[in-house]
Amino acid sequence: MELKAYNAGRAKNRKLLVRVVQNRQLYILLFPTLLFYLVYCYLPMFGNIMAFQDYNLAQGITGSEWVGFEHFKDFLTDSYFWRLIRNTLSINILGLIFSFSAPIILALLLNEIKCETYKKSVQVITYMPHFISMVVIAAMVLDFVSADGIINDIRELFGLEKVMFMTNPDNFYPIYIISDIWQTVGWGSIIYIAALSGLDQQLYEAATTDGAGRFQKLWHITIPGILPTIMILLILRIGQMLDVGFEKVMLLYNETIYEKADVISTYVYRRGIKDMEYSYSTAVGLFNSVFNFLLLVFANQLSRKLTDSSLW
Amino acid sequence: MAADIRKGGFMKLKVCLCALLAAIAISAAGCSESETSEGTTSTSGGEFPAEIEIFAPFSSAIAQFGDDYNAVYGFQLLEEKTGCKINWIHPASANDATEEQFSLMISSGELPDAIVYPWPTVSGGAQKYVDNGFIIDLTDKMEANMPNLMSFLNERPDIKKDCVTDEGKFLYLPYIRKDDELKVYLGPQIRTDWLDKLGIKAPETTDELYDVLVKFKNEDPNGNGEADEIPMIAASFTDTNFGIGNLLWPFGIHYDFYVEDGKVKHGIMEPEFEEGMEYIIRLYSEGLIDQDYILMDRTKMEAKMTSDQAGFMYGFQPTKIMGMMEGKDDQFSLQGIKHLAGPTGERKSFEPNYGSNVFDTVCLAITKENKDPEATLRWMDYIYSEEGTMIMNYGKEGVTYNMVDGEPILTDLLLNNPDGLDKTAAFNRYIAAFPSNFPMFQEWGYYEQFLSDAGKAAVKTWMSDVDISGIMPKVSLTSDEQKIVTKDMAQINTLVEETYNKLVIGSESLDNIDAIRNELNNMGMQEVLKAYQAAYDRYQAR
Repeated sequence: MELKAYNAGRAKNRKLLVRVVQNRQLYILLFPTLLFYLVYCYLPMFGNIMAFQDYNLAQGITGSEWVGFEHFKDFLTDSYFWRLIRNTLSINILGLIFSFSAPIILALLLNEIKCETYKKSVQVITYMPHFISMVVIAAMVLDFVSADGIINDIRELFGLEKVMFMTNPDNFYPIYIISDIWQTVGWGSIIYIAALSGLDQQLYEAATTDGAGRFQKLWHITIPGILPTIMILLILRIGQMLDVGFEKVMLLYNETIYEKADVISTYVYRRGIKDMEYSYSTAVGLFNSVFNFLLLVFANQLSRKLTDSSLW
Repeated sequence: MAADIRKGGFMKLKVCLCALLAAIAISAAGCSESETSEGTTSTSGGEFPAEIEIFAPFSSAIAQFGDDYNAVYGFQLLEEKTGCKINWIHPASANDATEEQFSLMISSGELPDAIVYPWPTVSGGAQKYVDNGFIIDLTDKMEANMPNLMSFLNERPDIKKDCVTDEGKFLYLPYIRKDDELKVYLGPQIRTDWLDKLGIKAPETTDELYDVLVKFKNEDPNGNGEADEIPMIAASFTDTNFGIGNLLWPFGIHYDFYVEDGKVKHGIMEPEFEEGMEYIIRLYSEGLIDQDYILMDRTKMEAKMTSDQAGFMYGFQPTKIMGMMEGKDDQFSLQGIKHLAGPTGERKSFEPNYGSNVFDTVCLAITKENKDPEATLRWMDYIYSEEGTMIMNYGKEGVTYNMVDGEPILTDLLLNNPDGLDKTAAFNRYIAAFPSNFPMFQEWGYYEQFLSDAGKAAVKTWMSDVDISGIMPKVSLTSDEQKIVTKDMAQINTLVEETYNKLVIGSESLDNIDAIRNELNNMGMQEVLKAYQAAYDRYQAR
């Protein structure tokens, strides 16, 4: 029995080897890509060892002192830990609801437009902001909402009082999300528009013959057609739940709205980067990655159960 | 001419003879020495190194003239004089890149001959880099190779304190502001033309400032018929240059760590805090401080100042702003005023720059890769010599300066550049001391010529009659202390900065201050104070 299994295994291995040799050109073509992932994505993972050390540059990974989970304990017992988690998740969940759905809606709307020129110009106008640097976007946003900015000027026109937008923590999320939508909606919709153009036109014709209205076609053909795309992007997005656009928060927030705006990355930046606290930053990064990974797996399972489309 | 020869002829001949004799004597001594002990002369090498490789942060202001500091005229002169060619290694100009490049360089182990870096404040202390074998201890080489620097430091023990470690060791060579004026470039300033228009005098106390700001707000000093004046502009509370927190100084406290009677304190923990804070809250709530202050930075503040809207601020001496207004509005006058006196009548300033003559971000350490550290030290000492100081600060006589009544006066190449460079660019191009990125002595004499009259006056005003005894010196923490401080200060600073600004805008109440202090103590404020106290005591014992 055992010998048989062994032989079978060997035969299988041989078969694989033969196949590899037969298709060597394909494997050679694949090799650079594999190497890229190995060198730039997998090897650096060993750097995570730092999180359990008191890393210093001089002694390197092999020589630094081991401290176990001290850096994780440090982060988890920080007075601001829960506030940071809450803010980070809030921004991401709001982003998931609004910033994620906006491009889908835009794509669906564009899909209904029959005039090509109009459609193209709307597309161009909406994806232009994607090319503006984040620093410029943040400066523009801050300028708009300042005491003598355009929004307050408009309010004044209607006889309303000036509002200090950036010192009220409650305003931070709307400002963040609205500017996010403005910047990313056009670019984000491209992938959906591509998915939409791949839908079988015969389905629509058939539906029209059956007397389906616009909304019925939207509901029964268009949305199911792009659902796999939506689900994949959604799963990927959920896998970044503890990451947040660091630069944007950094550029927009100020001390008076830390309450709502301070997120993990900005806090770690203020704490560690300047003092070269590699270990601490790595520990927080590792914590985020593990958490994100668990969410990703969970979202994938859920999606597979509910919609039959999943990453793996 | 004839009279000259008759008078000086004999003297000249004598001097020549003396020099000749001396030269013969020296060469003879040299010969006999090299005959007796061949080894000693060859090991010491040349007086200066022939070539040196130096890592140094790059100033983006130089980028328009070349790829490295050899584009600066002062460094070209230095090479000409010493025959030592400098190979610069510059990180990309962004500030973050310097740290990154430094880390990479250290971890790769490929070191240049010398490294310019903020050694006094480097994480873990410079001693750690000596212990790990990256840079070398210079202490026992200083007296023999650096007579110029050492004689200066021995005369100025206060400056020496900032150049050595707690153990009294020399690990790096500093950039020293030789004259006290050079430390003072930040302070309170006011629109004196507005004062004149309203017929009031410059404020000297906090109460007078309040009255002046109220008048600025209500009496239309810019004369456009609208109440668009912002009496005081400022930036976020703890902004080191423009922060509102500077208004705490007249009350005898600082918004950060400071020293009183040898004890390290933090402003928010002290009883004077409530009084000072109430004053600031009153100014803000009555609209005397820019309601948008939290969003301000230097550019935005300069825009408000030059658009004839703002009346008072803390900031850099007014040379730049006055320059921007030149030809636009001749009435415009922004002048420095004395630091304000508070309820006790003391004029205190906690501006960190006032505290130290050593510019701690620019210090040079010699690495273990350096083949001849003594020669490098001798070369550096040339920079600290009188001749070297002239080169670094003034350049070359007849080109960048002329001696007028015994004073070096800069030429039009700098003050009125024929190639159309503005003053700042011209100074960056020619004067090595100006971008402040290499250890040397900086002198007030040349910098004074850069400043406008308003700038010079402001510096003199801020210097006079100010109490700077409370400024926290640049202490160095042991690695244990460093651990406590980095661990706790992120939380503490978050709460402190949040509290300050929320108090100003009114979303936090001063009634809760005791609860906040308790919270700060829970976060480890007392331990951090203890760590700084210990570091301060060691500093004083240097």
